[in-house]
Amino acid sequence: MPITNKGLLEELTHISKQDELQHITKMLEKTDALMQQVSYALICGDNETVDRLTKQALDENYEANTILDDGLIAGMAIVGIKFRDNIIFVPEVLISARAMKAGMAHLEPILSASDIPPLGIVIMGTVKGDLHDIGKNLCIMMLRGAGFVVHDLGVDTKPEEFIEAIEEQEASLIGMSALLTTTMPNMGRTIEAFEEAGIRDAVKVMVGGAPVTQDFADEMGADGYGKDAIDCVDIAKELLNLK
Amino acid sequence: MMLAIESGMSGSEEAVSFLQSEILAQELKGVHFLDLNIDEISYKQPTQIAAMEWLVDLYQEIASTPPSIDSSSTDIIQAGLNKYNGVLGRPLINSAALERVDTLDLVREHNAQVVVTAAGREGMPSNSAERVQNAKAMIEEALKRNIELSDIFVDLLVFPISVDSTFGTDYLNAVADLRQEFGQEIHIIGGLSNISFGLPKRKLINAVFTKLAIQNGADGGIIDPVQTSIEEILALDLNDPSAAIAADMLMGHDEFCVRYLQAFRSNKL
Repeated sequence: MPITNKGLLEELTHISKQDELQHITKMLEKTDALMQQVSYALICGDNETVDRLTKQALDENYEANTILDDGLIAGMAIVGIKFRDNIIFVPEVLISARAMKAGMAHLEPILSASDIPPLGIVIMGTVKGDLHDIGKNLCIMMLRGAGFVVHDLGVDTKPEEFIEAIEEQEASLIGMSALLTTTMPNMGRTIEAFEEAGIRDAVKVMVGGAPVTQDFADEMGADGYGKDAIDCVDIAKELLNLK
Repeated sequence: MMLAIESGMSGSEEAVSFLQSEILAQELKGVHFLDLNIDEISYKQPTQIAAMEWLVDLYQEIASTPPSIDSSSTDIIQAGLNKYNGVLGRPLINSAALERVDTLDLVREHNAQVVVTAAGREGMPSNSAERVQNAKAMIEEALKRNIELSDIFVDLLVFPISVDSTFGTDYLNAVADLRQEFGQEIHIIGGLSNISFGLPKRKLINAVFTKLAIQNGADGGIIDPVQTSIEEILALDLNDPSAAIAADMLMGHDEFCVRYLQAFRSNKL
C-alpha cells in the first residue's frame, strides 16, 4: 500500500539517513489510511485526535496490537529521529508522549488482558542520590513505544529496590540513569550489589545519562551503554537478542 | 577533562598543561571560585579520593582563585579540603544538603564557605515553597554550627523550562522569597544554564534567565565563565523582541514552549 497521508509524506522528508528512511517507509507502507492518520496525529502531538482515532479503530475491530504497531509506534519512531537530529526539541517530544499516552489508555487494558508476550520486561530507574528523570522518562517512552513492558522505579533508586523489582517482575533487563557526575558512580555500586545478591547473571544491565561514557560503562561492567533515548531501544533489543 | 586528569595522574605532561591552561582561561574571566569535581573518574572511592588529592595539588600550584571542592561524598570533600593549603583564600564546599547534613561539620573546621542546596530529604522540590522550606532548614542547620550567613551560598535548583512551564518561576519566586527573608548577607545562586536544557538558542535563554534571577535577588550563579559574558547580560534589554519571547516563556506563559519554538523556526530569535 502506498503512503497516502500528505502530512506523513512531508514528515518523511525530515529523515536524512537513507537506511532509516527505507525502514520507516517500509513500515508505513504496510499501514492503511486510518493508521497513518494516527501516526501523523501522534507526531503533531495532537492528543485529542489520537484519542478519538484509537477509539474509532477499536470500534472498527482493529487489533490493539495493530494500532500500537502501525499507528503509535510508527509515529513515535519518526518523533525519535527528529528529536535526535535536533529538528524538534524536548517540549515537542513531551507533547507527542502525551498523545501516545492518550492512545495507550485505550490499548493497555486490552493488551494486558491478551496473552501476547511482550518484547521484554525492563526495569528502569535513576540511581541512588540522583533526582533527575527527564532523560530516563524519554527512554521509558521510547521503550514502551517499541513494545517493551517497562516498570519505572522513579528517581533515587537504591540497589535493593532494583534487586527487589528484578525478582518481583522477573525482568531480564534493567536500565540505570544518572545525570550527575557525582551520582554516576552509584551505577557501578548497584552492579556490585547485583553480584553480591547473586543475580548479576540473571539480568542484562544498560546505563545512560549525560555524563556517562562507554568507557565508564565498561569500567563498571555494564552490558550496554546508550547515548540517547533512541540508542536505548537499540541496545535493549541487542541485549535481549531481538535484533 | 576526566581523560586529562587520568592521563595527568599517570604522568602525561601534555595532559597536565591542558588542565593548567583550562584553569587559567577560566580565571581570566574573573570568577570567584573554580569548581573541582572528580566524582566521575571512577565509581571506586579510593580512586576518587586519590584523584581529588592530585587535582587539588595541581590546582593550588598555579591558580589564584580559591577552589570549590565539589562532590556528593563527604569523604571526598574532606580529602580535598585536607590537601588544600589555604594560600588562595577560603575554599568553598559544594555541597551540603538535607540528606547529608554532616558535610556542614567541615565548614568551620576548614575555614570554608559552603553551598547548601534546596534538595529535600526525599526528592527534588516540586515548587518554590518547597525550595524555600528546604533551604531554610539547611540554613538553620548551618547557623546551629556557627556558620555566618555571608558564608552560605544557597543553590535553589534550576530545572529545565522545556519540561514544565512553571520551572522558571519556581526558581525565581524562591529567590525573591529567600532574599526577603534573610536579607542581603546570604548568597543566593543556582545552576542557571540548566534552565535551557532541551531547547535551541540556549545562550539567549540563559542570558534572559540570569537577568531575571538577578532582578529577583540572586547574587551568583554556577556558570561556565568562558561561555557567559556577564557584561552582555547586564546590558540585555528584556523588551528586545527575542528577549521578550524568552522572558515570556521563562515567566510561565508559554506552555510546551510553543511560541518560543515557533519564533525559533521563523528566525525571530
